[in-house]
Amino acid sequence: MKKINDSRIYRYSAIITLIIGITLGAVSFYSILVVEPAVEQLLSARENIDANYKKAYIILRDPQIFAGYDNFDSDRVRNSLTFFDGKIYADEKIDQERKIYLEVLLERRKEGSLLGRNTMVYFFLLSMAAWILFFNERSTAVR
Amino acid sequence: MHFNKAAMCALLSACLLAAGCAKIPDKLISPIVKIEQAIKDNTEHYILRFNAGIQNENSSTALMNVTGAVSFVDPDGSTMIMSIPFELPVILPLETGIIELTKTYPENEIMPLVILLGSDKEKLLKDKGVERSFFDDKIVKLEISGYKKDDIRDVLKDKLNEKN
Repeated sequence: MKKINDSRIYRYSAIITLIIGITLGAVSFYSILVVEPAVEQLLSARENIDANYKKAYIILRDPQIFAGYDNFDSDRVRNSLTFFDGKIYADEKIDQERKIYLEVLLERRKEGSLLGRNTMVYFFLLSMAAWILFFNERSTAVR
Repeated sequence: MHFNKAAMCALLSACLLAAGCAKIPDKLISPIVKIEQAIKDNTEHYILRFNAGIQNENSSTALMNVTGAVSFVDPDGSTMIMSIPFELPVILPLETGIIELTKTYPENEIMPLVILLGSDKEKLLKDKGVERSFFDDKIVKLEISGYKKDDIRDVLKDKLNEKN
């Protein structure tokens, strides 16, 4: 019986999973290396706390892809969002005591980045497995 | 191949549409209506006070300039007893906008509503008013006629820029 050559399927699977992995990695590492340190710096400010916390919140209001604000693990995130939305909209001051609520949002973003990074590793492993199968298939087809 | 492209376009359009859709409030939360008699310019009038919440369930969309009406209808839905317009300047994401309405009506306009609420003039005067806090969804209805959807990030950025 003639053996079917699956190398094409393996090659496409390897490329697709690699692209997904790279995309997820880019998004996650952008958050880990750029966004999160910027927010941490704003939160560690000792002066002009109101303006810095508001800037930090505006950054955090844009959720990480794996940590969207549509589904909540707890009311803490929801309460933080409604609190800061209301404060900024009403142009009210945000004092240092509220830092803890911003840290809740930052923590959620960090969890999202971590999940994104782990998913990237998972897709890279899938891609690697597909490449191994692809080269194996190609070598057996040549013989 | 043509089919594949068409299917892909349809799927992408559906995704874009779904992403662009915001949930619009469609029900009133904890509606309370109170009707009391008041004498104004030596004539009998009735003051209607209505309170209810409408929830913006979107996590990142602010609803601006929400206009609509609260309607009282017969349980069978055939006759509209009364419709009161309202306007809310903003409902922030995950927040509940509060509708607070106070209107004065002459007796002939308010009595159909008093009867709908299971009372009559005699009972109203005896109890110094009629108050109902739980409604059948069929009796009191929310109609949203206008609103503007804004991304909360843009709204908040504009607020911060206004200040600076």
